[in-house]
Amino acid sequence: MIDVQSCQTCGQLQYPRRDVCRNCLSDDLVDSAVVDTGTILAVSTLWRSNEPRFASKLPLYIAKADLDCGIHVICFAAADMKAGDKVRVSGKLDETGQKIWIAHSL
Amino acid sequence: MTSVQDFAGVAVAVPVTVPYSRFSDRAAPWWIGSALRELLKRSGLRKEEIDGLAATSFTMGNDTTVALTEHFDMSPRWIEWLPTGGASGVMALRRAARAIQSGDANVVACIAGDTANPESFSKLVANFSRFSDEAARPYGAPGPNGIFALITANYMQRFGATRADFGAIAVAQRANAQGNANALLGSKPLDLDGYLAAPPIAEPLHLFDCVMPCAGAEAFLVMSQEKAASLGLPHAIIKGAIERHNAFFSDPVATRGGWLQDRDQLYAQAGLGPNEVDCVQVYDDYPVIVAMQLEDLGFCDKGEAPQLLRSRSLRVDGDLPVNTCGGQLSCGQAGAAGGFLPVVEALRQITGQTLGHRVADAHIALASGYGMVVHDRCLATGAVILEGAGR
Ligand SMILES: [Zn+2]
Repeated sequence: MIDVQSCQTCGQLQYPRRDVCRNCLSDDLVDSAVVDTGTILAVSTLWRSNEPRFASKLPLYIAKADLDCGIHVICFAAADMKAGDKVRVSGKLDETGQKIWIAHSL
Repeated sequence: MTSVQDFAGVAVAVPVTVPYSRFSDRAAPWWIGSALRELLKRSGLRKEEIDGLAATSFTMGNDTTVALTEHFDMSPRWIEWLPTGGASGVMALRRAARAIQSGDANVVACIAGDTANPESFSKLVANFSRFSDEAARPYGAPGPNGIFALITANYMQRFGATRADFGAIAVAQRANAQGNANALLGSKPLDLDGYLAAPPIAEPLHLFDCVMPCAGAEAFLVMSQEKAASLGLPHAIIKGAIERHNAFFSDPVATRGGWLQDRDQLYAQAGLGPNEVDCVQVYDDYPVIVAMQLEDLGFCDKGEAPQLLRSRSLRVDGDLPVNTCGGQLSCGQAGAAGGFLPVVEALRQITGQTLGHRVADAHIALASGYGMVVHDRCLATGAVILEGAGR
């Protein structure tokens, strides 16, 4: 399971985080645990970064994943992932304290 | 839908380009002020006669149009600020046209200008938007390259496009840039082999899929047709114009933009169809976005741009001239001025004021815009159809 911001009024899940519900505009928002599976829609191999902290890690593999809970996220991917792959995503904090999504092959 | 008022009586004139530069020590107001000086020189108007100012820039810090009025000692009675990048040209034109029709202004100067230095671009990308900081930047800080790599990969997967299809766009635009002294890459020939052999940036994007940031300015004037005629200015009239923001927000990866939602109204207002357009100037931050606009603006169906690119020529002398000055892919991306480039080049083509090659008998031009990657696609879209008049 992963935590995703959800609306207590209408049930909408949303990402990135918002201050009010994207659907009904309620501010009654909490983090809910939802299923962590999804499908890779597109992948990219990054050879350039705008920030020095990533330079030594290139190339990086990123993807767009359509999660079964109804949100879509950019995530880190494995080198061999491709569109159509079923994945599980997990969240963790990077070295700056920013939450990031990582896709894992199923 | 209630019918939208037309743009009768409004003229667009005096296309101005302040020559681009790869880097610049000048600040953005120098670029914008230089464009204003050129607008006055070419129109014969005095600064005091410009009573409307619409501006856009990414490199003015917290300053906006009102700060420019003090910079230039102007006292306009109408101002507009357009923080919408690639869509700012069409949006400035639409707003200025309504100001003219309502009498809120007599002459509006629409100007986009940006400086460029190594710090300005990384600063811009780093603090571009809150959603991007949460949901895109942590993934290798790829900037727009990473976002449009995913959009391009998804498009290729869904519609069978190949790198060579996108190469056809880049190669045609490079050919179009030859003869345009303002195109920073215009003198560097590009063929398909060279395109395909370029180093990867964010796969499937390679070097020639990406624009080169630079400094520059683009500008035009909006006024009544009577005023343009009295000044003896070659000008265009607005046949139709649309804009739409955050269209199709449920699409997990963008395969279409707001143009699709409103194009029927655009052509209905203009009283013509895509086949009657002599040249098309679309926003070209990446080739896939050119393909998407050709589809969404009705030059082919969704997913059929690859076929179109294999059978038609986008060159100035081709059967579907697109981005006839070379576009940003060959001129460079002068910040927000890149969002004005389609409108300015459209105006140049249909009023016979091109910097480079002109489409034979160009009379009707379509210009479109696409701006602001707040998260995973651009949100702002717009399009305008212009017709040459009063030459
Ligand atoms: Zn809600």
